[in-house]
Amino acid sequence: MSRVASAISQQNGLNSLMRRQQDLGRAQERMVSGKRIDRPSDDPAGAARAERALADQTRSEGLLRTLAASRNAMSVVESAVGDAVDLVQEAREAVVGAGNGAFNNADRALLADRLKQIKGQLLSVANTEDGTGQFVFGGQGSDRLPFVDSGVGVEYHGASGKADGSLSEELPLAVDGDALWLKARSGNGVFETSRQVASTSTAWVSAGQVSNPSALTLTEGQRYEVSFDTASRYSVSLVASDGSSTPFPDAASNSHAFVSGTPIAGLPGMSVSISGVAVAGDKFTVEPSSPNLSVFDALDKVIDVLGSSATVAPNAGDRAQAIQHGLRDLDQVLGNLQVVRSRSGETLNRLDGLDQRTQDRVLSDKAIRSEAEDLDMAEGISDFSTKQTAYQAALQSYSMVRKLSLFDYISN
Amino acid sequence: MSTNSLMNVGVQAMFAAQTQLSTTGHNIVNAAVDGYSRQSVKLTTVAGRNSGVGYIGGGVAVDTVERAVNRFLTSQNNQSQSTAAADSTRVGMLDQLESGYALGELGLGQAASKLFAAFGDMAASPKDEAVREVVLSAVETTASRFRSTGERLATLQTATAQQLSDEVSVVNGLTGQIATLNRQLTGTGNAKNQPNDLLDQRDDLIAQLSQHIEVSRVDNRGQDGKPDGSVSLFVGGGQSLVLGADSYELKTVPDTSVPEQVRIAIRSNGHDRELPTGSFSGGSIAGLLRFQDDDLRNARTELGHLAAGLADAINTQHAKGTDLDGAVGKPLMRVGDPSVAASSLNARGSDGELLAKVSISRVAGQGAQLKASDYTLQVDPSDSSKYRMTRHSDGTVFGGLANGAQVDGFTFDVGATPLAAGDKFLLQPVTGAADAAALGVTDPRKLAAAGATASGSGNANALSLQNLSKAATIEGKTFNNAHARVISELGVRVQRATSDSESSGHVASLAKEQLGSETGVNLEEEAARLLQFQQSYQAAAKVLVTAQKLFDTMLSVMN
Repeated sequence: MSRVASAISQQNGLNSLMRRQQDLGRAQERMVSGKRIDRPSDDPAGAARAERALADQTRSEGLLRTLAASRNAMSVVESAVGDAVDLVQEAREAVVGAGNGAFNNADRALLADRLKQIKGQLLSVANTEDGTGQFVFGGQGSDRLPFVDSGVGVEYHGASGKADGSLSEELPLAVDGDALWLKARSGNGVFETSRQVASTSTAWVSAGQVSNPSALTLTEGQRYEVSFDTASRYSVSLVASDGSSTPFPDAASNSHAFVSGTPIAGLPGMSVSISGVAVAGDKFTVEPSSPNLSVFDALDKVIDVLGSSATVAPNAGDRAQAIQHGLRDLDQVLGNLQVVRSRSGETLNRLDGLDQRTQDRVLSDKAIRSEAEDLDMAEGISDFSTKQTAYQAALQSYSMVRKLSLFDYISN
Repeated sequence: MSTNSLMNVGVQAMFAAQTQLSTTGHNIVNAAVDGYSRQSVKLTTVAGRNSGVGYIGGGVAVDTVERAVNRFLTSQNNQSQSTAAADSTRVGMLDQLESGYALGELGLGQAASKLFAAFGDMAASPKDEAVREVVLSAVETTASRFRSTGERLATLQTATAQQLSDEVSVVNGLTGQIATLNRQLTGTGNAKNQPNDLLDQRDDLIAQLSQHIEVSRVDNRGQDGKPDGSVSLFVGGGQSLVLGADSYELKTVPDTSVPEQVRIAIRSNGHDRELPTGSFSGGSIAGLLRFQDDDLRNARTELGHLAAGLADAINTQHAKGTDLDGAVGKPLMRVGDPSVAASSLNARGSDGELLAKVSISRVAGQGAQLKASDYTLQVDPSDSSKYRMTRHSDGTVFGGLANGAQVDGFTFDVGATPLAAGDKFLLQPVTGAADAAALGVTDPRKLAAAGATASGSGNANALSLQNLSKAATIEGKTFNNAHARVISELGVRVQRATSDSESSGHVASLAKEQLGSETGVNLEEEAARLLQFQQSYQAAAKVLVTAQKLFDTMLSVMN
C-alpha cells in the first residue's frame, strides 16, 4: 500500500479545485463574449479561417460601396442622356420647322436662337456632375469642366475612355463623353455626302441611304466625286486615297443626265439623290463616314445658315442642304445617345445583380466567420452547466474528505 | 535475574517510546514543511545475558533516528520539476506574446483589409479629399497596429532579459547556500547519526534550484572512497555549479551579435565563460532562453516580414501613380530599416574599432521576395574573395556571393575593408520593420490615385493599389492570407507549448506524489503511530510499576 503524503494530497486537491474554477471561468467568459476563439491558440485553424473570411467580407463591403458609386453615376448618366435625347428631339423639330417655305428670315432667326439655347443646354448636360465632384461624361478623369465652348467649337478637356471603379468587375464611374458628344459617326453612319457649289446654285444633296449593304465598295480614304460638266449632265469619278482620280465605273459609262430628285447613277450599294437647279462646276462628294461628328458642330452648322448675317445671303439650296444635313446629323447623334442610354440602363441592371451577389457573399463570409469563431450558445450553456456541476461536486467532496481525520477520534 | 534489570528494561522502553513519540510529533508538526522527509526511530533489541538458565533479554534501545530517503525518486522529481518549470515559464511568456496579436476587427489583417477598401473608395471618388483623408487614416491605423505589436514584442525581449537576470541571481543565492551547507555536512557522510534536517534542507535547496536550472548531482567521496557528505552540482555539458564547499556564479551577458538578447555565462577562475544555450535542458532559465531564441525571434521576423512586404508593395505601386498636383507618389507607409549587427568577436584594428563594416538594404519592388528570417554573413570558405550567407529559418546556404549580390529581396554591401576569416555579421532585413511603421505621406493631395499618364483625378493607380489585396505580396501569398497563416502558426505554437506544459506538469506532479509517498508525512499514519507509541509508553510504564511492586514485595518480606 502506498502512502499518501498529506501535504501533497492537500495541495493536489486544492490545485484541481483551482483548475475547475478556471475551467468554469473560461466557460463563463466564452458565454459572455459569445466567441469560441479569443486568441489564436483557442483554435488556430478556426482563427485563420475567421481572419480570411473577415478580409473577404471587408473586400466585398468595399465593392458594395464602389457599386453604389457606380450605380449613382450610371443613374445620373441615364437621366442626363434622357434629357439630351429630349433636347436633340426638340432641336430636330426646330430644324424640320425651318424647312417651311413660308418662313422668312426673321422666323428662321427665331429658330436659330432656339437652337442656340438648346446647344447651351446640351453643353451643360455634357458637363453633368455626379454629386461628388466627378463629371459623369469626363471619361478617365478631368479636374475641370470636360466640355468647353471655345468660340470656334466645343472642345473636350479630359482623357477619353471611361473610368471604372474596379479592376475585377466592370463598375463604370463615368462614360466616355468624348465619344458620346463629339465622336458620333458622320453622315448617315455609313457614308457622308457634301457639296461644293457656286453661289448661284440651289442644288443640294440628300443624306442618302444604303440600298444594298453587300454591294458597297467604297473604302476608307476613297471618295466618289460627282461633277456637273453642264447644268444638266454630271460625271462620276473615284478619288483614291493618294488623290488620283479615275472615271467611275469607267470612262465610257460615267457620264449621266441630271434629273432633280433622282438618285445618282452608278454608285454601287447606295442611293444618293441631288435636287434643285445645278450650275456647271457644282461638285458633290460621297465618302465613308468617320467618327468625328460633334453634336455641337452639327447644331452650329444649322444655326450658321438659318441665322446667317453673311453679306451673300444663303439661298434656298443652301438652306435645304443645311436642313437636310442637320437632320441627318441630329439623327446620328440621337442614335448615339440612345445607345448610351440603353447601355447605362443595362449597366444598372447588371449592377443590381452584382449587388445582390456581393451581398450574398458578405452574408456567406459572415456565416463562415461566425461558424469559425462564434460560440454555439446551446453548446456553451451545456458546457457551462457541466463545468458548474463538476465544480460543485469537487467543492463538496473536497470539504467532506478534508474533514475526516483520525485526530478527531483520539480522545484522552 | 534482578528486579533492577526489570526496572532497567522498563526505563529503556519508556525512553524508546518517548523518542518515538517526539519523532512522531516532529513529523506531525513538519508535515506541511517543503522538503521535509518523514523520520522514524530505529530500535534495537539489547542482547540478553546468559544467566545460566538461558539468555534473558536486555530490553530495547534507540539505535538512531533516520529519515525516509529515496535517491532515485528525488532525482527523478527534480528533473521532472525542471522540465515542467521550463515549459510553464515558456507558456507564460507565450501567453503574453499571443495577447499582442488582436483578432478580427481589432487585428492587423482587418486594418490592412480596410486600407485596401479605402483605396477602392478613393478609386470611386479620386478627387474627394474626405475620402483621401480616410485612406491616410487607414494607412496610419495599419502602421500603428504593426507598431504596437512590434513594440510589444520588443518589450517582451526586455522583460525576458530582465527575468533571466533575476533567475540568475536566484540561482546564485541557492548555489551559495548549498555550498555553505556542504561545508557543514562534509565529514558526516559515514556517521551513524545523520543530521536529517540539514540533509532535508540541502535536498530542498537542490529541488528549488531545479525549478530554475536543471542540474545533475554527484555525491562527493572522501579520500577513503566513501561519501563525505557533500555534493557537487553540474549543469548540462559538465560545467560545475557547486563543487563541495565552492559555488560558481552565473551572470547574464549580451549576445555577441544581438546585444538586446541575453546569454548566460559562468564565472570561474576569474573569467566569464558563455554557456551554450543547449546546456540548459530544464528549469525556467531554459524556458526563457527558448522563448527568447525561438518563439520571440520567430515572431519578430514574421511580423517584420509582413510589414516590410506590405509597405514595399504599397510604396512601389504608389510610386507608379501621380498625385493631385501631378507629382509622382512618395512612399506611403514607412517601416523600420533593415539592420546589421557585427559580432563583438570580429577583427578589430589597433584603435579597438571593428575593421569590416556591412550594410544591407531591401530592394524596392522586390518585397515579395523577402523571407521571414535573419541571415549570417561570412567569408566563403571555398573562395575568400566571395561571401557566404546562411538563412536562419531553414539553414539554406548561399555561397560564392560577390559583394552587392541580392539574396531574398535584399542586397548587402561590404565597405572598403573586406571581412576577415572569422568575422560574422547578423543581417536582419525584416526583423524590426514593424517597430517603426509609420505614415509616410500626410497631405491627402499627395495620394497618387491617378495613373502615370492621366493627370489630376484619374483613378487607375488607386485601382491598382486596391488590387494589391489580391496580389501575392508576401512570399507568394496575399497579405491577408500571409497574416492568417502567421496567426494560425502562432496559435499552433502556443497550443503545442501549452499541451507540452500540461503533460510535463502532470509528470512532475506524479513524480512529486511518488516521492511524497516515500518520504512525505501522512497525518493519519502519524496519528495511528501516536496511539501506538502512547500504548508502548504506557506498557513500559507498567513494566516499571511492576518492577517497583516486586521491589516493594521484597522489602515487605524483609520487614
